[in-house]
Amino acid sequence: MRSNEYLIELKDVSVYFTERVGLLSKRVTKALDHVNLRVSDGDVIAVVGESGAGKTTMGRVILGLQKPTSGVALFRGKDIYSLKGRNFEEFRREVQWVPQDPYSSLDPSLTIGEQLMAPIRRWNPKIDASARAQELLRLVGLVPPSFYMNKYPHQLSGGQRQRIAIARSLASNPRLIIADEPVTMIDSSLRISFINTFIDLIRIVNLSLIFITHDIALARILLLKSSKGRIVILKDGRIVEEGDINEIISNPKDEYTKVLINAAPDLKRWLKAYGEQ
Amino acid sequence: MPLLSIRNLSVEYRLPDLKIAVKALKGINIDVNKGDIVGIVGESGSGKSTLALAIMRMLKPPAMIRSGSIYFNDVDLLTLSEHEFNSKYRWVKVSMVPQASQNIFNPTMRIKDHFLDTAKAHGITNENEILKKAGEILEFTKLNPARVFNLYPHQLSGGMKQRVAISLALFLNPEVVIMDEPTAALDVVTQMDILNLVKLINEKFGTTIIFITHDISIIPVIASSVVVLYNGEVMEVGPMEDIIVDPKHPYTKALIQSTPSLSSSADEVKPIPGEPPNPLEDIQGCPFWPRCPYVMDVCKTDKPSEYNVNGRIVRCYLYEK
Ligand SMILES: Nc1ncnc2c1ncn2[C@@H]1O[C@H](COP(=O)(O)OP(=O)(O)OP(=O)(O)O)[C@@H](O)[C@H]1O
Ligand SMILES: Nc1ncnc2c1ncn2[C@@H]1O[C@H](COP(=O)(O)OP(=O)(O)OP(=O)(O)O)[C@@H](O)[C@H]1O
Ligand code: SF4
Ligand SMILES: [Mg+2]
Ligand SMILES: [Mg+2]
Repeated sequence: MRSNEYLIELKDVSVYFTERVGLLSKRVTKALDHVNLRVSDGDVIAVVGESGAGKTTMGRVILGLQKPTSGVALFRGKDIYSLKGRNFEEFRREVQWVPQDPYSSLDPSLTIGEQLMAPIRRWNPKIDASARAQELLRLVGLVPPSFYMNKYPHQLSGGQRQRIAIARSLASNPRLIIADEPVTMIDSSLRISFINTFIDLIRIVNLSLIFITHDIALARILLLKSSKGRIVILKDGRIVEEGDINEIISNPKDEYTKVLINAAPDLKRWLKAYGEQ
Repeated sequence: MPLLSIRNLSVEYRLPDLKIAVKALKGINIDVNKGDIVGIVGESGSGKSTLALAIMRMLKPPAMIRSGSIYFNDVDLLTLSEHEFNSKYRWVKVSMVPQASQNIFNPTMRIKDHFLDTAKAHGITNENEILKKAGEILEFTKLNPARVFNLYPHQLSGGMKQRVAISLALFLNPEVVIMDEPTAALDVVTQMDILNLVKLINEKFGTTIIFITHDISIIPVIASSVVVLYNGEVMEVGPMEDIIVDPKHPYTKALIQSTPSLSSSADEVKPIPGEPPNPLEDIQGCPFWPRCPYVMDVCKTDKPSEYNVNGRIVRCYLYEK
């Protein structure tokens, strides 16, 4: 396959952060360490790994926000960090993200309606921005939409803010969404609804999804429901495992993967152990 | 007698622009026994954080307590003066790890000063004594006080910040600690560490814990009893094992059904049908009826009362006797 057939391709990408420690010494953090990743249209990739593993950094590289220290990040075969003019605009519209923290990512001075309508107007000047914003609110389960349109972020609960962030990522009709822990404050029923919403979008508009999460059981349901799904396990900036999630759960090769699976809370596992007691 | 008893508590957020109010809590009753870890579960917007803030008396306008009492032993906390509450109860007897506590830190202050400030706000001024206590509890959470005291918040990882937030809630030896989603932002390994830490604190110091979460899958790991909230009302209360093994209330059942396990098939995990409740709408009858597979005519008009089912409280007409 020619490389420009991938929506996104990371080739040997490393990101190093250098911090000064004391007066003379420096500490280097390898946030990403020689990472290779290929994302095709319609791919669903669940990214799992402990805090500090480099998940957000990987997302930021793909979004054009964190230039790699070495290696290249390509969007449809072109280097993301030298995109210009129309290509850059297209990239900005097609690749969107749901940032990790809904407490700091929403603008406290703007109403929910304003925050949703701005990207709609920018990318689709012809459509009725208010109607589209309300449609997005309904899609993320915030009903009635008119009630939320003139609310400010501080008037909403944590999970409600997170749903706004998801709605906003959909405003430009993107081709790839990088969702960075998008459901941490949301209950399981809504999580499953979101999975279903994303799966519909993947089918209808051939959306691709990079889903960063620590909920492995949820990631598994997402991947089971999508035909082109795989899991990527990051540790210390490296991809330690990548592939079919059932395969990896039943036969983890990496020690760290085993630790992750054992630490995942699991009602069925608990019920089974309880029944055997 | 319960240590903490919440009776008929109602809280509203008034929205003057719309001339209406969001009823966040609607006459709830919850008893917390000494030494318990009470898990409070409920979906986003069900009123969990409002409950935490009400107990801490930290609700700010437009929030307003419409009715109810919060008894600590025999004292109704809601009747005390702010001065009395702040000097004798807040943080001293009841403290809190707020939701999204990664954001509670002042970015310009070292960790040490967060402890000093908190203690001083509650009338404790001996710096050496404060730092000694803070150091002990930080060590207990497996942080190195000598190092952490001098760091700024941005120099800590999410898991470290969470440990500091828990230490801040604990270092004045409160009897009750409310933890609002303390592990929501953490990876599963760190989450398990924090849950074990909370259990250890409960065992070692006998601290009573109110553990708020939207994630019912961690309830068996942490809680000894469970309160299930829906749309500002209590649906079911009981011992943890009973509720997880044999949920009675249709909402509790649906919540468990929607929670994936590592061995679930894609089809067996189902979202709760229908839409989450509209915060402005006053649902007549049982708040869950628009989404309930067992709904009967009476559910749409009358509110079920609290039925006792083998020592459990279930608010559902299916259990009327
Ligand atoms: N701007 C920065 N300056 C210095 N170090 C950084 C910066 N951004 C990230 N890092 C470091 O890079 C590593 C990877 O961070 P990253 O945010 O990508 O992790 P993560 O996997 O998203 O973690 P989490 O689950 O906590 O969100 C960490 O050690 C982090 O401290
Ligand atoms: N300052 C406010 N002004 C208006 N309404 C508010 C305010 N704070 C909370 N609410 C509303 O009160 C209801 C209960 O909110 P609360 O924060 O207690 O929910 P929660 O159960 O903690 O949710 P989450 O799990 O998402 O954190 C929600 O409908 C919310 O929108
Ligand atoms: S009272 Fe009726 S509607 Fe409510 S949960 Fe019970 S059966 Fe369902
Ligand atoms: Mg991150
Ligand atoms: Mg909350």
